[in-house]
Amino acid sequence: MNVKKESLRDKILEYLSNNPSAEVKDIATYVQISKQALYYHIKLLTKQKKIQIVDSQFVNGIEKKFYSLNAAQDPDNTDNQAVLVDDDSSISSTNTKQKKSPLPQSIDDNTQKTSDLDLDNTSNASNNALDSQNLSPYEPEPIKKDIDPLKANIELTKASPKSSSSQKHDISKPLDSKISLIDRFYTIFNNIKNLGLFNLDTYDTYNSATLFITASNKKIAFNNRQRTEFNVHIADEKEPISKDIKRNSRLLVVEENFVDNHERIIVPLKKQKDQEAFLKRYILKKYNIKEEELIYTYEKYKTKEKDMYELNTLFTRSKYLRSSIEAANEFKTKNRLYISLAGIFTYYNFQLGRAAKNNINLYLYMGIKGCELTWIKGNRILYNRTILISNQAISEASYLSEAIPGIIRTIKVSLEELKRDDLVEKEPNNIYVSGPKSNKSIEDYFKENYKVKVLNINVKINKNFNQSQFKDLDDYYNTTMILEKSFNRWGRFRYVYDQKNKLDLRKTGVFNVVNLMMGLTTAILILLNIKLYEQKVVNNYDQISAKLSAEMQLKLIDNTEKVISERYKFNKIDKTLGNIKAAKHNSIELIKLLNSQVFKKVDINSMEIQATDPNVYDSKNLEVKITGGVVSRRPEAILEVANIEESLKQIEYVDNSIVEYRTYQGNKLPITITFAL
Amino acid sequence: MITKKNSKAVVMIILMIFNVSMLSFTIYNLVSINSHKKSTLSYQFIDSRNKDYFSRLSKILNSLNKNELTNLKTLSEYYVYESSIEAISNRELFKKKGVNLPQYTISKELTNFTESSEGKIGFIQLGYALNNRTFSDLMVVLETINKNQRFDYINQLNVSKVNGSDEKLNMSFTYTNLGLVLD
Repeated sequence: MNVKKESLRDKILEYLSNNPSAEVKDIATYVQISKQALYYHIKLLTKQKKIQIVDSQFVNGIEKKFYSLNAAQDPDNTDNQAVLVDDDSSISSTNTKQKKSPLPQSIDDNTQKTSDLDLDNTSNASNNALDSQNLSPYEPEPIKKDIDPLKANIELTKASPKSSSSQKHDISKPLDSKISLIDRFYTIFNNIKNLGLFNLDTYDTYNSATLFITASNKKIAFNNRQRTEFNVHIADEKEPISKDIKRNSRLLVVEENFVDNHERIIVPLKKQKDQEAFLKRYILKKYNIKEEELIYTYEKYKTKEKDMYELNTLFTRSKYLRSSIEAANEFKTKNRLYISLAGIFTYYNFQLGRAAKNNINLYLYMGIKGCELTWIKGNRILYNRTILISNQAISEASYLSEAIPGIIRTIKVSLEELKRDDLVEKEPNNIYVSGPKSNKSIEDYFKENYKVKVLNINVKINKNFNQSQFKDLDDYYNTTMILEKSFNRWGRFRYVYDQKNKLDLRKTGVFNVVNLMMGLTTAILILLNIKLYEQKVVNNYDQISAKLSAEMQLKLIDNTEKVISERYKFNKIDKTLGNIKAAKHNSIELIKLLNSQVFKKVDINSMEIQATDPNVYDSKNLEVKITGGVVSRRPEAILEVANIEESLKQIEYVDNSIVEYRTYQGNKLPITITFAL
Repeated sequence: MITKKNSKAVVMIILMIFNVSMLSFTIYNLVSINSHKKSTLSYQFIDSRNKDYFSRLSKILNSLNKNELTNLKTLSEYYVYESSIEAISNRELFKKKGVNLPQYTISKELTNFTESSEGKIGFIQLGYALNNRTFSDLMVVLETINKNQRFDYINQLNVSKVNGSDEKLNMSFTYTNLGLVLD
């Protein structure tokens, strides 16, 4: 069993030796066991310091770790050192133990002996420097070169206090439990941010390509923002560029040999038009450039003085851009941006993050024919100079002996100038070295002599790539990666040539963001309106139902009222009919009343009975009027009349009885009796 | 140099117009929803009030329905006709009782005055003047009408003594007959 396990671990180490940065998934595929089973061996090998984590990325909230052989284990590492040794030995001595460095050993030495600097002139101290580069194969490097340089400045400062044991502890934990909730949110936020949704130009950069023209006029092209594979296409000067690259809608053109100048001018001009006019006049006068030849771009920065502005400009002659334009002509898109290396470094520097915003960093681009030296603070170029090394390709050693003195001299001059302008107080915080000629020797040299952090920012390759192209690219592959990294967050098109083009791009960017926001607003409004429309339809239905119900109720009431009215009428008719029947009896009752004691002493002459018509709905009472007189009763006749009246009032079915009498006519008292029956 | 700028501006304007119209639509929808809600509420309020009113009406109707309209039902058995026919009918009715009716006068010709579920209801009034008659004749007339099952009555009656006689009476009356009317 143990033999099997050992052989498995050997296989892992073998895979990592061939693939310097690999995921667990890749290793698992190679050794043909499950990822879960592999974690045990990986953990063990990490504990034994045979392998180490060289990078980690958060993808959708999950941390992906990339493993590599520990420096002490990495056979390639020793190979690399050997290459360095071989190079050196070919120039100086065959004795590797007493190799002499091609680099000068101190700043003072260099500034004094720049003219006659060569490999033979290196001092004994250089041996020590060189020795320091010949790392023991059993000692791990303090900082691995393949750590993502973009994170280096922040992560190193932040992560360094953590002990290695705590790191080990973290690794031993299950994958999910290691990620805190805050980290998960931070990752989600970062993912959204990295998508560039808040970036003005993401939408243009997304479908853009980069064309990098090397010193030897080779054309290196690649699509920006590639997801899975980073495919770089290289073509000689006369060869056509791959069609895959040409499909892009925007092209970023960078030329290694591009010549431009940098100036910082303090002016009390606030308006953009005035600044542009002044800048143009200033450059034309100072550098004796014809107006039609001048191409410039500038950024405006505030100064310590009130109402004074620093115009930070990069400018060149149109003839220097010609080769870039010619190379770019191969592309169909007319949307081309030209930018110098100094401009690119501002993007790289800006991506170091907020923590590094106040750092002053020195960028050294070690090109084939020249060296670009750029001081950058935040996204602002403080100083930029191009140092010409050689017009021809020269050996590594010659390159170093030519380049280093020039660089040191320029650093000294620039530092003095920047100190004078109160922009820099001391040495740069970091020195970032890049370019096809950058190597460990240069990195170590600056580390030794300037006592600052020196990082080789040639980017390590995490993504899959076409191995066949790698051979053609030679030293440029890493440089290309720097460009790709820088363009990941393209920003506000700083230092893009020319000024008008840049301002147009910014306007386009604003349009993009406005369009995105408006697109989002549109989407939200559409969704909202769908919801509201649904609500409206439902409410409309409710309203119609309520209206119908109310109308139905009204109709019901109307009908009921009609029925009631009709029924009431019928009832009235019915009652009237009843009253008619009753009235018939009343006439008989009246005769009975007339024959009763009440009217015994009355001599009736006439009688009138009146009842209403049938169309009058009443009780059908009989209105009775009797005329006659009380005979032979004088004077008691009047009393008799009173008696009659009183008697009538006492009869229940007699109403409104009135008995009137007139004056005696002889022995007769005439009376009129009216009543209702 | 930047050709996309204009197209993006056009897109922006289109989006802006679209957004403005969507906003207008949103506002329209919101206002519409609000007004629908308001009118729904007012309809519901009115409806609830009407329901109360209806329930009261129902009670009234129920109480009205308790009356069985027996007289109207009885009325449906009787018809009234024109004066000539009615006069004959009257003459025959009183003749049977021993009272000969004189020539009639038409106080009111056949008139429809209302309508029931059974049909149109009308009445006719015929006037008669009976001179030199006895009290018993008066009583016969009154008793005849009283015993008649029809909806008829005397709506006007004048009785007076004949001059110089204690037994003879002059009487005139208007006889009203009520019933359904044939079309």
